[in-house]
Amino acid sequence: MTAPVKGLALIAPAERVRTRREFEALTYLLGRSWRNQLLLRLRRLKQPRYAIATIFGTLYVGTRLFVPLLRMHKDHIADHPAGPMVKALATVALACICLWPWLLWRVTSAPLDFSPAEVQLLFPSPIRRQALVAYSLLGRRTMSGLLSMLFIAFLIRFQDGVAAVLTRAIALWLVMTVVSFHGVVAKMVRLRVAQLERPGRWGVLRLGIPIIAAIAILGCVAVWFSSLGHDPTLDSSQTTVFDAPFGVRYLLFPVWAVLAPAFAQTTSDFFLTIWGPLLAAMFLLYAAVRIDVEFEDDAAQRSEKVNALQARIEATRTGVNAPVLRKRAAMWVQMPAGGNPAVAIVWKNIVALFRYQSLFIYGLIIGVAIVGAIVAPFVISARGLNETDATFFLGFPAGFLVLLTLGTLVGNVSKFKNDLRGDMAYLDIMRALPMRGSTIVGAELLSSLIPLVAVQLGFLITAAIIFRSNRFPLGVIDRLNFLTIAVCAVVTFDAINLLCLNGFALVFPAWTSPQTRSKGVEAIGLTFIGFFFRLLILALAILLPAAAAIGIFWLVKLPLLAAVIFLLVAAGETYVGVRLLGDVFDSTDPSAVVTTT
Amino acid sequence: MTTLPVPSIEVRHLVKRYEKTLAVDDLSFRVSGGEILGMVGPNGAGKTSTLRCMAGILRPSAGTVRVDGHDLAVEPALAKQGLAFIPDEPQLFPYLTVTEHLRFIGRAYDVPTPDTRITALLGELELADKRDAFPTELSRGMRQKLAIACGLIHTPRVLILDEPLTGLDPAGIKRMKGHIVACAQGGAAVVLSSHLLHLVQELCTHLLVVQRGRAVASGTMAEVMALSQGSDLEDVFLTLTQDESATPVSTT
Repeated sequence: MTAPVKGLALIAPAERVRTRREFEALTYLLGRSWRNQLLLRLRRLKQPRYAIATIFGTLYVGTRLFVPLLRMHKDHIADHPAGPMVKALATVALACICLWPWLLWRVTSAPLDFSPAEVQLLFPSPIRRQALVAYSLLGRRTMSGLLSMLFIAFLIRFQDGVAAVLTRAIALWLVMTVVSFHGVVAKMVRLRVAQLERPGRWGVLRLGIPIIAAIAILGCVAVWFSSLGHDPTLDSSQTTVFDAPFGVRYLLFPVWAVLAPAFAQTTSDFFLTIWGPLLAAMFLLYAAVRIDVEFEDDAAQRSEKVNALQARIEATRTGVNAPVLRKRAAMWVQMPAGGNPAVAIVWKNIVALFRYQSLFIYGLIIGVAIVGAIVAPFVISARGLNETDATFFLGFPAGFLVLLTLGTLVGNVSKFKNDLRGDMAYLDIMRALPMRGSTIVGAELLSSLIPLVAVQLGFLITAAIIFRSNRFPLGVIDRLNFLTIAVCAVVTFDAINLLCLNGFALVFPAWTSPQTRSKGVEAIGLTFIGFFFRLLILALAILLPAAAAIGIFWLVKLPLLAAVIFLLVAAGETYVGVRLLGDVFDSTDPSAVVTTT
Repeated sequence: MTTLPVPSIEVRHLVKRYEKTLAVDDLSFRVSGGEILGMVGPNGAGKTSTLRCMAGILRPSAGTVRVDGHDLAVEPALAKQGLAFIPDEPQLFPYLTVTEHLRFIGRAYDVPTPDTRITALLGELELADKRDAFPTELSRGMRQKLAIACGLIHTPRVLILDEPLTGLDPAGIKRMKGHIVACAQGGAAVVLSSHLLHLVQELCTHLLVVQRGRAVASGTMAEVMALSQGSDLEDVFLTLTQDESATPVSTT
């Protein structure tokens, strides 16, 4: 074997062989994983529920995306080019997004994601860490981005032509990729600086110089774009933020270079500007591969954190790599001694909620509203506001709280998942508990219902207190009635909504797996079925209590009593629902949760 | 033809720190080809952290790990080429079948004729019937067998095992013990961590007792047994790990 000629061979033969081997191994891993994932999904279609979900999802995607695509025939890609203001705002927004990881992300957060299997099988293998970084970025982020590109195309649905949809989707995908890579690089640089024992001026500069060089290169590209007429600042017909001081204007050029293809008006414009994000992505990938940052510990810990089941095993085994939780946050949530053993499930889930999620924001909102209500009368009298202004001034925070309550009806049922949706991973343990299925389902339901209603009560009561002013037409009794009715309605809605969501977790256990998140057309179909099913159940479930409440109101004209009757009938319905779900719980196969991911 | 060096793994002044927790504290030892080192210690002693550092899963906070003379931090690819890590809790790719796992690992380690080796391993580990099964379709023991097969496919020169018999049936345990001994007899350096002291006593030629991240005893099995004046390994272990004031003893 002859030695490589120095200066001609950029990569030594042994290095080439190793690179090829790593590439082959990792592409094999990715290719086979995707193929098998697809086959598993197809195999799952033998179950009618998934087949129906897939049919719904396919029909929806087909009618919303592909049918309009087939009808398009125009060649140009933008009938209504975006104005300089839109471009400038988009550029500033992207610049802010790019600044975010440098300023606000925690330095200790893991820069790269690796699954437990990757940590265990790839880290000890002779695959170099640079290849692992590239695999993590290209193989996972980029490829998952490719899938999401389809959905971007689906969402934007430009009516201007096939080329418009494709170029916009590619451009937006590239922007997302650059943002994603940039976030990783920012984390790695910050982590690297933190890991240097004595970062010093040179340590920081050594990391900073390539970044400054990259910005300069991108700036040059952007100036080149602008010389070709792609600079939104050249349009002097409108005032934009690009008319800001000289330095700011040129700092934003690189960001614009990344964004430019998304605003291309013709196909040739698109191909001319596509080099901006491509160069940025390539540079960021190179930087991520080259930065020698210690990511193994974080990756190992994070992979375990993501995999809740594995984290549990790991935590009980060593206690070292357990997820970092707010251990002290829930110290005051004490388990009641004695009573129904189902209380233990509620306690466990509420403690988990406190440890995994920050509830500080809700307290802050209520606190600010109360302080506002206390301060408001003084401000009103000091400023001598008239009745209308004062009403608005005091009514605004109360109205905001009522709106927030309505928001929690929809949003927080998805956020507070400390019920069966979270516990399906532990179905085997739950099934071994000495309780009836309905008891467990009821306890799980209460686990979400209690904190959800607590937050909503906090909002509603605070709103009622804020309304306590002689300036408002509602008296104390009226407000109390409204509060009671609102609480009854909110509790009923929450209970039935959560019942539906928990029912879905039981009927579709594979979708609640901690291993993967649901995705694809099945997920779209399932979301649709779930949404309509929930609406239908809600409508049907509310019919009976509403009829009872209206009947009572018609007979005795007491809204408070009608609200209580409404709540009681709904509670009875929920009880029946819990009993039915309990039977399903008792017959659900625990292996279905993990075998059909 | 180049002659490969005698397989060995050498750990020098290893320190592993998790934020405020010191898991491994200045640990040093060496295992040469043909030797089986049993690493024992109470829960939380730092055994798994040490093994994960040796396998390249975690970066040491300080100290070096040299595999076949290659520093794991400086030449990681060369160091890992002959190394295998078999964990106690197998983590497998959810979307790769049994055969595909082995093909992937074979490719990553550049095994010359992987299919022949795969067929042999699947037969030996009684996984031939499950060659097209996904990890989620395997029992706990079978997943462990697959993890073992992944570790053995490239005929490692340094074998690191963390509770390797967890979940195996009696026949599997017997076969695994045979594999460990065969690897050592074939010239591989083996590091075995286990709480099954009778297994350690049966298989290992050397012993390292770890407590709070430090070595409290190390040497050949006979030497450590003699030093601690115990009748069996259980007595030795309890004497060494329960005596808080015990000073480290070493014969190597």
